[in-house]
Amino acid sequence: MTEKPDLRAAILAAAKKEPSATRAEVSAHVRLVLTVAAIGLAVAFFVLGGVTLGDRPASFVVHVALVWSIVAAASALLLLRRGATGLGAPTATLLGVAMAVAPLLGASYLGLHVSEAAGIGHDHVGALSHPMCFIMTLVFTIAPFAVFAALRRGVDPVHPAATGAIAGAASAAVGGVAITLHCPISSDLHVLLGHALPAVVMLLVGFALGPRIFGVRAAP
Amino acid sequence: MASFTLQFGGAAPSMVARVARVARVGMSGMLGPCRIGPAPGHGMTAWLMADASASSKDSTALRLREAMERYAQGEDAAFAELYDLLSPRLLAFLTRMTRDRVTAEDLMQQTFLNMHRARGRFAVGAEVTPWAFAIARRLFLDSTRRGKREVLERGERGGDEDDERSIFDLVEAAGATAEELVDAKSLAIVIEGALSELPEQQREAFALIKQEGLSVAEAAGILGTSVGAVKLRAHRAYESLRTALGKKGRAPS
Repeated sequence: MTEKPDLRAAILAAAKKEPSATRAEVSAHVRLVLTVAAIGLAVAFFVLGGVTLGDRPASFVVHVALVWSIVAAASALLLLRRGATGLGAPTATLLGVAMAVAPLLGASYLGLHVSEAAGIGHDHVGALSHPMCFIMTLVFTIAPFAVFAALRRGVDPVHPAATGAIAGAASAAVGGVAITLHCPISSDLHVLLGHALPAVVMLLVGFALGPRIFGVRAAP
Repeated sequence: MASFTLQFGGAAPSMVARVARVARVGMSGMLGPCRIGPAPGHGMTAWLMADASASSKDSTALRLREAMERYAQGEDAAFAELYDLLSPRLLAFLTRMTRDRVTAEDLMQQTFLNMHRARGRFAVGAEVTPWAFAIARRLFLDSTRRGKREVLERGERGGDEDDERSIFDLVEAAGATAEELVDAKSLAIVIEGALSELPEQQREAFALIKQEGLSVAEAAGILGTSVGAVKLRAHRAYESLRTALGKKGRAPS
């Protein structure tokens, strides 16, 4: 099937008229976003109080942060890995992993709490502590989500909602690491509601925003 | 069971091409030989276009990767090369999806503009064809969701008339008998009918692998599913087509 010569000319002219970033320009932009995000996350973390152990053993905090970092890294890797076709993992895999992030965070915390810090964290926790930590965790997710958006903006024609979902969940896992280091409360309920639950919220937010951020769209 | 071979000279228009492609499935696909039309030696010019050789496909893929790489790095002239390498297949794919030439051209323009916008984020060393097809498919799905169905339906009617004219002209030009002409036409209708009755997922898998010539992995990437799932869908589609052809006495020999 052959197309009209004027169609070719029209498409080439339209592309010429519309500026688009080259790979070097995108790399520079991503580096800038990464730097700003890292600084922003660090500033937010230290402004909010930095590392606070409370009555938690240091090894316990390190282990929780390490396991949650592994969850964050694994989900981010799946998000960024494109494979031979350049189109990424199947939709079901992305959604499955995104949905597994919050349960993994929660289950790993409960397991480590029982094995390494049994007997602590059972004191009464103020009712406002849960929403406070919940909001702080969400604040910590902004920077990593911005980095993922800068890396994959407008290039996913297959499953942008699933990409958004896993970007949200991975960002929440990064936020979870930060809040784990910062929040001294080790109550199981508090960690589940204030530290792990944001992964579910971010999954939904990412799923909803994914097509706009990561998706390919027709010209208006 | 009767053995048929549908044979024409020259370039095949859309309907004939579709018949041919479906026929080729039998030869290169899962179920062994399948020919459409009277057996060889019955007066029609040799036809059934051979599949592009593997080396030719590799060479095109390599040229596409190189052109995309240069374009991603900022060499604007490489866009024309990308266009020339991709546009025939993309336009054929979109025309088949939309059944309307104007809509297909519009979607192809948007596909190339999306590739242009995202060039800086294109993964180093990734295949260009699956990405381009995935963009085209996404834009097609979005356009149908935006209520452009009426355009497609108009195009579908027009397309059928074009196809009918093309196949009659071609068979006539090839010196076919009226019987052969009717035979080819009725077979094409059976195939088209069977294809249109397939579930969307099966039809897409079949179209990408058997009609567009993409690999199973590429089709899986475009459809956002696993290789196994695509194989299963294509196999089921092929079985359905085989059954439909069998009912009409056209089953692969």
